[in-house]
Order: sequence, then C-alpha cells, then structure tokens
Amino acid sequence: MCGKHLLPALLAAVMAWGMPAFSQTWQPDKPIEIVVPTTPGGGIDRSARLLQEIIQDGKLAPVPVTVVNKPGGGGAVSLVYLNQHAGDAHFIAINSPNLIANDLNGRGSIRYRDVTPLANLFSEYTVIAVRADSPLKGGQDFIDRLRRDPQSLAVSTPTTLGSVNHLSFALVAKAGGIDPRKLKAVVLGSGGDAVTALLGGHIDAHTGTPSSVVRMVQAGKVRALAILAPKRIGGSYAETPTWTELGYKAVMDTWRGVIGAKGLTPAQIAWWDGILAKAVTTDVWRQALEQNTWEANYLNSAQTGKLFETEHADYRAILGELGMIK
Amino acid sequence: METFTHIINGFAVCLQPINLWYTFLGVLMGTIIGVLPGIGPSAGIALLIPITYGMNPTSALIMMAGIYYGAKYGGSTTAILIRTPGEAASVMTSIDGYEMAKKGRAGAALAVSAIGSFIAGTIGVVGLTLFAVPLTSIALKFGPAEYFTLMLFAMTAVSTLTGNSPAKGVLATIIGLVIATIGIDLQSGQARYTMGIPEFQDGVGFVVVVVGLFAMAEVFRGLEDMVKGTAPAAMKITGKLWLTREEWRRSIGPIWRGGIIGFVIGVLPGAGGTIASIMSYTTEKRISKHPEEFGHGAIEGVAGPESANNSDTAGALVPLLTLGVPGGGATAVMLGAFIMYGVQPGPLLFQSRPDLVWGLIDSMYVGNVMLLILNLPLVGLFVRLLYIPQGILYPLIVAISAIGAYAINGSTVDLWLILFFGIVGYVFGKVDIPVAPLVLSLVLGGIMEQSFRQAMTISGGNVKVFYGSTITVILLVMSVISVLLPFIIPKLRALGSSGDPS
Repeated sequence: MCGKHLLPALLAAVMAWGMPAFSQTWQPDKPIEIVVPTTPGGGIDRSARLLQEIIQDGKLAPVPVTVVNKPGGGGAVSLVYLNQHAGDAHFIAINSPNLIANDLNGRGSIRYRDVTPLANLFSEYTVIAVRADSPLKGGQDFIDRLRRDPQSLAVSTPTTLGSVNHLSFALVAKAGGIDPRKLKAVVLGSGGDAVTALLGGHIDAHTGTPSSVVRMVQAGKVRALAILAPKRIGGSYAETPTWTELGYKAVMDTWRGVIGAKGLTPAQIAWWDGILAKAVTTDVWRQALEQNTWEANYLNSAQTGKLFETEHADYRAILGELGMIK
Repeated sequence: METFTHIINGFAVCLQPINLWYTFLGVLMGTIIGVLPGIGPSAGIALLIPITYGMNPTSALIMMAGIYYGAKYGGSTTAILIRTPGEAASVMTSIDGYEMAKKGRAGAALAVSAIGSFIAGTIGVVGLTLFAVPLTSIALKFGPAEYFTLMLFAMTAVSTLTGNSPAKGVLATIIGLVIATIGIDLQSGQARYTMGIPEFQDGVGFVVVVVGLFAMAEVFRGLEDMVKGTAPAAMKITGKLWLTREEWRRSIGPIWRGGIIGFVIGVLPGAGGTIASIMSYTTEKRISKHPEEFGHGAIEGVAGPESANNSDTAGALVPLLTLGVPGGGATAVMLGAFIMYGVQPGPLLFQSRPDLVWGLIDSMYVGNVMLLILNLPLVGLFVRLLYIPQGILYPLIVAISAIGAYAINGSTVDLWLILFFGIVGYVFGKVDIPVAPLVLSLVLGGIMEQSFRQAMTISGGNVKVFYGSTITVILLVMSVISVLLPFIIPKLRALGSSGDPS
C-alpha cells in the first residue's frame, strides 16, 4: 500500500516544489519598450536612452530595447499608454515626482498606486541659486529677506506651479517660518528661460536641479545658496551647504524612477530588479551620472515602493499648505 | 586676434574630409526632414542621438546643426506645392508660395526659397561669428516685460494680415488667442479648457492647427470642386522655371531684411523661427509699394519669411553656445547632446573648446553652400509633383498630413485635431475669414499672456515695469507707430500728391 502511493506522492511533492520555481523566473520574449513621459532631449529622455544602451549593448536582456516618447499632460499620457499593457513587463517607463504630484493635484486619472514601482535610478536635489553679484550671500540672507517681507524676492520655479521646484521654495520658506502662500513664485517656461532671466537680473533667485545652473556656477556667474539635499553633493557644489546644515530642515529629491504597468508578477519584478541593479553599476552609467550632475541613488523595487509612499505623504502636506490639493 | 586664429582653425576642423561628410549627411537629412510635415528638426536630431553615441563630439554636433538649418530649406517645398508647411516656421510661405504655384510660378517660389535661405543663412552665420559674445548680453536684457512688449509689437502686425474686413480679422485673432489658452496654465498650475483630455494639458500643437487649417482645408476645397465638377485644370508651370529678372529684383530686399530680422529674433530665447518669419512677412507687406498683392502670390512673401527662418537658426545658437540656454525645441535637444558628449556649453565653452565651437560655426558656412547646391536641382524635380492628378494628389496630402501630425506626439488626438481644423479652415474660406491672423495670435498669444503675468508677478502688480526700461519703451513706441501707420501713410501720400504741381 505504502509503496504504491509513495511514487505519486513524491511526484506531487516534486511538482508542487517545482511549479513555483518555474513561475519565479521570467524572461522577456519580445522587444522591451522604455516609455518616456517627455519629448526627446530632456534629462528623463537622456536617462532612458542611456538605459537602452546599457541593457542592449551590455546584453543584459536577450531582446532589443526601444525608447518611445509619449509626452503630454505632465506624464498623464505616458501612464495611460503604460497601463494599456497591464501585466506586461516588456513595457517600463521612467518617471519623476510628477507621478505623485499629479496624483494630488488631480491632473491625471492614473494614481501612483496603479503602477508597479521597479527602481529609482538617481536623484537630483533642488538648489536655490542667485546671480554672483546678488546681495544674498548665503541661505541665511535668503531666509532673513523673506522673513522681513515674503514678497521681496521674485523666485523662478520652473516649469509650473505645484512643480517640485515650487514645492522646494515653499519647503525652505516653511522651514524658516514663512507662509509659503505669500511667496512670489514666478514660472518662466523652461528651466533654460529661468536661468536666462536670472542672469539678466529679472528675477532674484532660481530654484532648479543642480545641472540647470552648473555651468554658471563653474563660470562664477551664479552662486548656489544652499541645496535641498540630505548631504552635500560634491563636485562643483562641494562648497554649497545643505539647508539642513543651515538649520532649516528642507530636502527635495527629484528622483528618476522606473515603473512598470499595473499587475506585474513577483517574477517579473524580480527580473527587473536584477537587470536594473546591474545597469547602475556599469562604467557607462557612472560616467553619465557625473556628466549630468546626477546623484547616484539606486533603490530596488521594494524600496522604491516605500519612497512613493513617503513622498506622497510629504507632498500632500506641502501642497495642502499651498492650497493646491484637489 | 586670438579669436581670428580660432576662426581659421575652425575651418581646418570643419574641412577635414570626415567632417565634410557629416556636414553633408546632416544637411541632406535636414532637407528630407524639412520636406516631411510634422517631423521637425527636434525629432530628427533626437532620433540621431543614440546613433552618434561614441562619435567624435565635433562631428556629431556638426551633423546635428546640419539637420537643424537644413530642415529650414526643405520646409518650404510642401508649403509652396501643396499648401502644407513642412515645418512650423514655413507657415507664412504657404500663403503666398502656394498662390505663386497656382499662377504657375512654383519653380520661382522654390528657387527663391533656396537662394534666400542660402543668403540669409550665411548672414546669420556671419552674425554668429562676429557678434555671438556681445549679443549675449543684449539677449539677457530681455526679461518678461521686454518679451511682452516685443510680442505686443509683433501682434500689431495683425492688421496687415486681416484682408478686407477688419471685423473678420479680429474674430480670427480672438479664436487664435482662445486656442492658445488651452492647456495647463504655468502661472497657476491649473488646467484650462482641457475638457478632460490629457493630451490637451500641454496645449494644442501649433503644427497640428496649421496642417489642418492649410493642407486639410485645401483638400476639402478640392473635393468640393471635384464633386461639383468645377475643378480647375492641374497647375502648370508657366514661363521659365527659374526666377525672372523682375522677380529677382523684388526678392533681394526681402532676403536681406529677412536675414537680419531672423538672426535678431533667433538670438532671443523662446521667440523662434515662426515668429521671425511672421515678422519678416508683415514687414515686407508694410513697406511694399503694392501690399494688395500679398496673399495673392507676392514673391516678397516667400523670399522674406524663408530667409528669416533660416538665419534664425544661426541666431538660436548664440544663447546655446554662450549661455548653455536653449531657445527652442531643436536647440534643447542639441544641449542634451552636448552634455551627453561631456561638452558643457556655457560661458566657458569658447575658451575651453574653441576647436569645437569654431569647427561647428564654420561648418555652417560649408553646409549652406552644400544646401544650395543640393536644393536648386531639386526644384526641377519637386515641381513635377504638380503634375500629379488631383485624384491622387489629395489622398497623398491627407496621408502626408496625418503621418506628420501623428509623428509629433504619437497621439491619435492630433489626427482628430487636423480633421477638425481642416473643417474650420474650409468654413473660414467659405465665409471669407482670413486664417493668417489666427496663426499669428496662436503663436504669440501664449508667450504674450505668460510674459505679461510673469512681469506683473515680479513687479508686484505695478504696470510701471512695462515702461521701465529702454527696450520696453522703444518697443511700445514702435507698437504705437505700427498701429497708426496705416492711417498716416495714405494721408502723407495724399499730401505729397496734392503738393505736387503736376
């Protein structure tokens, strides 16, 4: 009796053990598509094309990789496109804090919880900068001026109100005990327009990514007052203190994350975790980080999911203060 | 003196066979991209970025610049032949260029575009060579208040575009302004008139509107003629293919003026080739002795704008190279490419990489010569398009327009939009509402509104900001003169003729 049932039981046990093992590995079997929520040429587009090159030339994946630009709606159009491929891990998208901000200001129909977090590639921390001949010598001067009169400084916050740059300005002001609603935030189209206006003396200060003013800082035409980073970022900004150092707790991380469509299986997520962790250790990637003044800040899928949650809570708080929650 | 040495060394760089080859490749691709509507130089350059990875940065940038200015040569082709601007900046060309084609002068219109582009392109490069660094400081003086007054001045040109009925011109202008407000308002972060369509959050694309209003509307008109059986015989080339002496004489002035206007506007970040070509067109119409010919095939209306949009590209490289600030889409992509190659455009670039800067600038002289040689023989080839029977031509226009519109954002919403604006353009034609003021206010409206509000935010609501600087005052005075001119000139002429004893 025993012997008769032993074999099928063993087989069943082996199969039961083998089945999940089989489903735990996933491999792409058609071209991978990296979806970019902006037009070609910007920072996000560049990071996508870099990733394409690393995965393809490094033979990290057995299939070709293409980049597709789906600009529009502050990223909303790309999310709609991505989720048309629910459960399909051949489609990934590069995203930014817009994913969270749009969720809160009611701009997009797809929430951040409707997509699958896969990784964070790198971060850019907002810097507040002035023209070299500005009377504002440091972050403390900036706060002092705003404390006397919140309307005394016109500060550019590309590329729209409620953007990460605007939130950065509001965070710093709030940390200094200034009502963020009273600030004079000016939106000057692209970051490039804002830098021109800063150099021309049309505005008093500029908030933006370190890369937006790095050439001007190197040339001594622009002074970075302080950076909204957890710690100093080095390079051309080695001398620039963090706001936290100055006693104002304000950190703003413009992360560049990778997301997948909704409903990816653990096996698919695991495959991407492996590929992306490898991609960020390549020399090509490290070199690009330096060239673009991007900060290495790789997070895996689980950590990125947590990042989204904490960012959502933080943005909700500051957008609420600005009266921009819908 | 040192700069002079650098300029000469730049020629040594750009005349290397490999760089000549890349210049040629760039201008050839540029011409093709220019001919195809929708696919503009920004998309073309962006597509090239992954291919050029690992290339020598100078060669890669020479090729990208070639695409940028080469596209302006090609943009006029479809504008003239099938009333479909191949590129946003060719929109003015599709007004008089197409009328010229209807009169059998397509060859002359194409030839003057190529020659004007060459002369103006070279004017632009000379300007870039001589004045890049000093001009930067003037570009910096343009803040929101200055941009607003500049747009105001450009806007006063609307009166020259209205045609017979001022009221209908005003109506078209207002519709253009309304379309310009669609999308996320930058100053408040609020969506306006997006009707729940995510694609509308970034506004309605200029090229999409123009392709609809011009090309699709033309197809509808043609269809109506075919159904009614009133279709005119296919367009023919009358007279010689080349410019007549008279046409040549009338084009010289517009080419020079267009070249200078284009370069100056190009230096200002954000203004761009479309505004340059509109300003050139309205200038020519104003100073013309026979303004009534504009809109009915005046060669000045092709020569001026086509020249302006070409020298604009050289102007746009001024802020890119000296400040690292892109003035528009194509230069923004080029900035991305610079960074990717580890080259940092900005105040230090002229000192740190003179070989690259001057190699690039000097290659544009060479590229313009190549484009002229490339484009002139094509005139004979392109005019043959006109011999295509209408039954084939119209579907072809629809196909080209649809592919072009879809290629911009890969969005099907844009396909519905070209259909919609095609119907709008057709109806406008029926009730005699001019489309040019709509195009003008659509281009200017957005920048005008945003710069007004930026200036008001900065000044804390004080309107003094608009007459606080020399530039704004000059532009305001010019705007007033521009509005009054049509009323003054006839009086002056009347005075002059009554005082004349004969």
